[in-house]
Amino acid sequence: MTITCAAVVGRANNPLYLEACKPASDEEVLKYHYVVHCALDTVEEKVALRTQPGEIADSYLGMLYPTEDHKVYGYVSNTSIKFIFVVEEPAPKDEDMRALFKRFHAAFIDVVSNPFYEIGQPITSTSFDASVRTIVTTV
Amino acid sequence: MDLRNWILERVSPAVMVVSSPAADAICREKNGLTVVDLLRPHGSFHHLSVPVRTVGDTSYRIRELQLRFFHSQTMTQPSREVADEHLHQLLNTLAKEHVDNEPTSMVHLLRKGSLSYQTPWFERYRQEFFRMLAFAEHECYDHPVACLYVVHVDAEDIVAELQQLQAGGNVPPLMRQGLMEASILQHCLVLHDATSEGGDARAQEQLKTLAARSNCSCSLMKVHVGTSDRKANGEPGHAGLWRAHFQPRLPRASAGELPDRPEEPDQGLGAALSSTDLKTITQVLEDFTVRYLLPDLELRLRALNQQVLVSRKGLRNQLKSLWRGKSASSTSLANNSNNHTAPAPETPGRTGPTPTAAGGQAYSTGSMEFQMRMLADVAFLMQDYELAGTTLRLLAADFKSDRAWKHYAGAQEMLALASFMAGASMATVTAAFSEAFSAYTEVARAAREPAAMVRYATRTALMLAEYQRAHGQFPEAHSALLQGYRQEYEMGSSMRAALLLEQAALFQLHRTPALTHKFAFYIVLAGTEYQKSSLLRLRAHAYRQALPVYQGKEWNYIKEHLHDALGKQLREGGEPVAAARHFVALLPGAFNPEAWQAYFLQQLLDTVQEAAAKGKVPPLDLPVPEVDVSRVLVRHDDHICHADSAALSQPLDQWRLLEGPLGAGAEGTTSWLDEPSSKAAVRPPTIVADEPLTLTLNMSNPMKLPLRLSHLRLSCSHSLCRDEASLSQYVQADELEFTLDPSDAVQIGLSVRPLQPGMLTVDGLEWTLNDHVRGFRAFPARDPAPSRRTTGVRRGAAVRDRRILQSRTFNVIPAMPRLEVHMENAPPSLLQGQLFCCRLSLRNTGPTPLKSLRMATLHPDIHLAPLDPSHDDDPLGPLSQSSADTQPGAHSGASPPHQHSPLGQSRVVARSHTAKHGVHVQTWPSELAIEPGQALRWNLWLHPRSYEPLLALLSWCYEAAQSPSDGPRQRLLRMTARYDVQPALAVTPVLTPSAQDLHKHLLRLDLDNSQGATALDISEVACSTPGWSLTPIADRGHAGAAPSAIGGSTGRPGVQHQHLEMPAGTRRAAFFHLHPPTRSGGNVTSGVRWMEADAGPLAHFQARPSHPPTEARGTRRTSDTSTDGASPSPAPVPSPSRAAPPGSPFAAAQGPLWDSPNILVAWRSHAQPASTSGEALGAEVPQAVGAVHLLDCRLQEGQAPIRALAEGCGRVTHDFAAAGACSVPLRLHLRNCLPHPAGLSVEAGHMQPHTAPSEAGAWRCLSVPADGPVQASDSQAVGPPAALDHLWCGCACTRIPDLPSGHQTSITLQVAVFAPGLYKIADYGIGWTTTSQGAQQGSFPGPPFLLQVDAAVPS
Repeated sequence: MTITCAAVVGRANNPLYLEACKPASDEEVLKYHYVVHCALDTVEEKVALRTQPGEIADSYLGMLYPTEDHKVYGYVSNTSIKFIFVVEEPAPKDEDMRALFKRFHAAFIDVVSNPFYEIGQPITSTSFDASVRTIVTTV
Repeated sequence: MDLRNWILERVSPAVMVVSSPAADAICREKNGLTVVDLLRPHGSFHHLSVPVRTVGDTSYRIRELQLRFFHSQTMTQPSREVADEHLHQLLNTLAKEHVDNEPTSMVHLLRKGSLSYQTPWFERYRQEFFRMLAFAEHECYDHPVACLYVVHVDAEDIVAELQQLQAGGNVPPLMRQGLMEASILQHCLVLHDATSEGGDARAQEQLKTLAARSNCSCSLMKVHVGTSDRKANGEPGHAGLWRAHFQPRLPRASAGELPDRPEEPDQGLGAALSSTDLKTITQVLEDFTVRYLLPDLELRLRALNQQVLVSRKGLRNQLKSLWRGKSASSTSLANNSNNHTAPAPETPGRTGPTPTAAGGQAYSTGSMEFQMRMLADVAFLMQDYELAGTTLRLLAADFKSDRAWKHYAGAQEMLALASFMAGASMATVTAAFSEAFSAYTEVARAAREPAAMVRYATRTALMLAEYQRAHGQFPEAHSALLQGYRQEYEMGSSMRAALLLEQAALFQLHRTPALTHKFAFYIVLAGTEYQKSSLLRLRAHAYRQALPVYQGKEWNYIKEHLHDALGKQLREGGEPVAAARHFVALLPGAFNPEAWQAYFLQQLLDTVQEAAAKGKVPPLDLPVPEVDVSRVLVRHDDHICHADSAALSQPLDQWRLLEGPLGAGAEGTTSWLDEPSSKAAVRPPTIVADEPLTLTLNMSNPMKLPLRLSHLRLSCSHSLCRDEASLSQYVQADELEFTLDPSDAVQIGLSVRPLQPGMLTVDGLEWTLNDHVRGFRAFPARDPAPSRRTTGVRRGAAVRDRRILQSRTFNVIPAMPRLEVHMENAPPSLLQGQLFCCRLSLRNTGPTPLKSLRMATLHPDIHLAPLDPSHDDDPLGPLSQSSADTQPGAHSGASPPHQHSPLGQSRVVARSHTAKHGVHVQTWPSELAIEPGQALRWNLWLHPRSYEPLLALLSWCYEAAQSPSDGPRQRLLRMTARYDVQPALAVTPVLTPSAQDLHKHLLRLDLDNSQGATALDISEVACSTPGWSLTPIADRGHAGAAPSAIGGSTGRPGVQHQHLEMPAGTRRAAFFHLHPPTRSGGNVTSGVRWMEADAGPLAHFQARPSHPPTEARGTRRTSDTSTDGASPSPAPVPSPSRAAPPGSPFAAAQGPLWDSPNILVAWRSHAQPASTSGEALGAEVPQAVGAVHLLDCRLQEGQAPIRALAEGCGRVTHDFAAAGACSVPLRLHLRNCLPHPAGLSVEAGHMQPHTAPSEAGAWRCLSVPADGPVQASDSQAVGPPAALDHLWCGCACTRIPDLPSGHQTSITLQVAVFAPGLYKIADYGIGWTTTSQGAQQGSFPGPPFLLQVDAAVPS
């Protein structure tokens, strides 16, 4: 499994962070933007269906949809922040993906805890970038 | 489309038409039609009632039927290349017809709840695509069921001509190959032209001949009867009917169409055909259908069914088939069939179908499978869907066992349609379609030309998607189209892939909830596929549909990609204006590096220049610079003018309070009747012609590049202006030009001046970017909704904020006089207590004269002089002459002459009065008119008496000298005067009774300049209350106080006039005797003063209490006492601010004798307070003068209302040797300071000695110099009271029954001492009682008396 793209999308479905985890051309980066944006519909569908009354929602959404070359996985926080990985074959195990997303979420929490970060604005933190790269390279 | 109707039209009997040249020529020459074109519109029958019986015992009726007519040579399928080329051209044509640059956004339609299909090219494409796949060899519903021969009645040998047609070999290629049934119904149609020679008799004769000698049925069709109906434009009335049935043509005859069409005659299509002809054709074809075609099909179906029953149905046949293989039966059946083409030779070693050149497999017409397929399709055409379905299921099993996947797929596809028409379940229909799709896919993988085979799979996917869409199953329909897309994508057919993706994307919008993100994704993919197939207009349409999804959510990379692609495409397509709009969207691109921003900007500039070369380029909605149009500040004047922004920011209530006494303006008096109704139309704001309308807005440069802005101005329109060229006659707009550096933000003010009355609309802002691109930003067109205030007005009252642009439209009224007030020598700041004369210039800048000038203010620290400057009194007295040299404009005498004064040489007096709520109103004579351009100068005195900024509101009201025909008569000018006030001298008076005089007071002034930064000279201390006077007392030089210089009297009572220096940061004290007025009234202040406290502005300021908390407070004293401005001598008004506490004897002490005087402390500084900005350091600054008003000085609390003074010989010499006791007379003076008579009593020897409170009065406690033997008998001694060293003699208690108020009396007491020494006589007391206005009484110790007794030296 290779994670080719990691993305964070805000509450208003605005991109906060999107980074190709492998060297990618401009066209590939653009394609990741499209793929991540397209995944938002599935995120919303899964979020709407994931909880039954009295059930604690699971943040991990599993695979959102497959493309010809990739599979898109999603994770949503309690504050409706969406975390998305675009993964190359072979398909990973759900437990592995869940752990990766939790680390991704923790790195995001570190960023937003920075008092100089403005909520809802794109993340430009180099430390967050380094954290994400560490996460995706330890797969 | 409705799927059922579509199937009925699409799967309907096909009739092969073979016409003679003569018959064809009649139609071509006179009507521009072929015979097939003539018949096609009349092949639909909707009111049939033909009973048919197929295989069962029961019959049913066919009520609707559609016939399809084809030329015999066109009943063949075009090659894939030809078909794709044709479809590509068709799409291009459709795109030009239907795709525009501003398509309706599907997402917007979805949000409005009116989503509908907006892809008409897809419907046409699908229709043509299906047509291209017709006449396949593996399905029979396109095979002809009848052959219609058309001959002309004028033929010499009509029978021979028919035979020639029958033998001419005009058959479809498949029929020639034996893959199409050739044994079909034959019918001859005799075409009779009514205009030809011969007439009906010959036609009937020919028909009889033909019927007798030919082997087919015949019928006569008479045309060209009557005259054609014409439209208003001369076109034949039915031209549209023929044109609606025209199909696009292909290079070669195929797909049911000839490659060329007859030339359209000059008279139009169908010019020779009348309504009678149309009815005749319809009747002939219906007769053919009912009498010949349907019975023939019925018989044919029965025969086919019988054959299938014999060979394939039933248990015996099935077992036989399983045991021996069906090929035997097929072969035998084929061999037994005489009417059909011989079956194709079987492949050695393999049974079943024959491989074809296309890579598929073919069953000949004699094969059992073909017969079964024919049976199923004829049953379908005869609308017996049950029979068709049953046969197709059986047939599908046979094809499957034969591995004839193409035929199997065709059978499944037809089975799906039959199941649908028979009302089978969705699962059945969907399963059949899916099976067909899978089979076609399998065939394609193994085929030599897979792309051709994939088209059938795509056809199946389209039908399945349409079926599922019709049933609301959009996700499934989406999946079906995606499957088709993948097949086409793999085959490289990007055109169909794009179409399928586009439709799949649209289905995402129809889901609940709509998946807009996926829609955008697939529509962009579709655009990419369109680009591959060079369908650029459709690509642009797809991208434009995706754009709204990404708008406003910061998916900048995607937006950039789409806009860049669209812009480049439009520019290459010769539409630079449209391209520029997309390039504009690439700006500012703040996330892009500078180089990219420069590239995008240059791209825009180049495109606009290219567009400008072709014609005028409309202004673009440029995002750079960023303009905050949400909050645009507006500045305009109607009948109310505001001199500055501070005046605009003041609460409206304050202005209303001021303007109420002026009687001007509708805003002065409002009630609930005046409140605007929420339902009523809000009138636009009013502005005056020839006066500027100024808008202030914020602008910033978000790019990393400098932006050059030129021709920056407001874009306006005027209601009277009809064309843009003459706009300058109605509106005059200011322009700006500057360069915005990267990341700069500026606030700009733009003005527009309407020149004519009417309606002025400010549409927005326009500018030119980098000298090429004209930008425009519209102001939001919102209703002037009132904003709600939470304080100051009653709940619910809505008040408009005049400062914010809320309406783009303004009502321009005719020009009016306009008063502008300018302070010529406005100081930057003032000292606390400073008295400053500010020279006002009241100028009429309007085009008409003004009159009836009035002014209102509430602030007590400003005062408008009552006289014009040339006659104004000088309140500064002698100092004015000395200070005039260094303080220009500090007083009225320094007013320079002016040439255009409206005053002339007459003395102008402004009357003033105090109106309700304490508003001070000044009124100029009504006959005083200020002509346009003239100025009236007047003096305004400023006297800030507290250490806080001075903010005064002044409202000026005036009228137009000539009554206007339209618009308001009065006009208001609201202005504010705001000055910073620096701390200066603070004075605290301490007033105590004098111990040496019953009338005088001792006054101590604590002068505090500790907070000031300016050195002051105390120039004068004066008592401004009439009758009161001051005399100085030499400074005792107590600790902390510098020796006072105010020691010398000028000989003028009431005024002390010598300088006391008060450097910055010092405190001092000064001491005075304060002399109250005597009853004789002789001690009256008079003479020349340095500062006239009882006249001019000082009298005004003294009469008005210092600085009210707010102007709007309504708890002011009300007095309508009018005073003449010519003799301004207002009586001092006692301040109620320091009233005695209730219950004390002072509470009633309001009489003249107990009145409290006002004291004025005048000072001047060496320098004015420094300017904060205007004046340079070190510059010479003028002298300042000021005054501190000590109003209502009163005695300290605790002072007795009866004043007493002990008087006697303080030092006596007594010979104690001669007489042991020394009797000394002590005279006690008593004065009643109460406002009413009082009874007094003096008791000696019963009171403890009085202890003077320390630090309470003007004097401090002093230590008695111990320069002699002192035998003080203070009661402060500890222990039992010592024996008195003196005795009172005579009457120890004296009563004075009634001492009138203000009177004094004296009594004499005798005290005896027995030894020399210094005695303090204080053991007596004074009591008082009053009887009037409630009995009050009190007592206090008598004033101590020091007595020094010396022993006489014996001589």
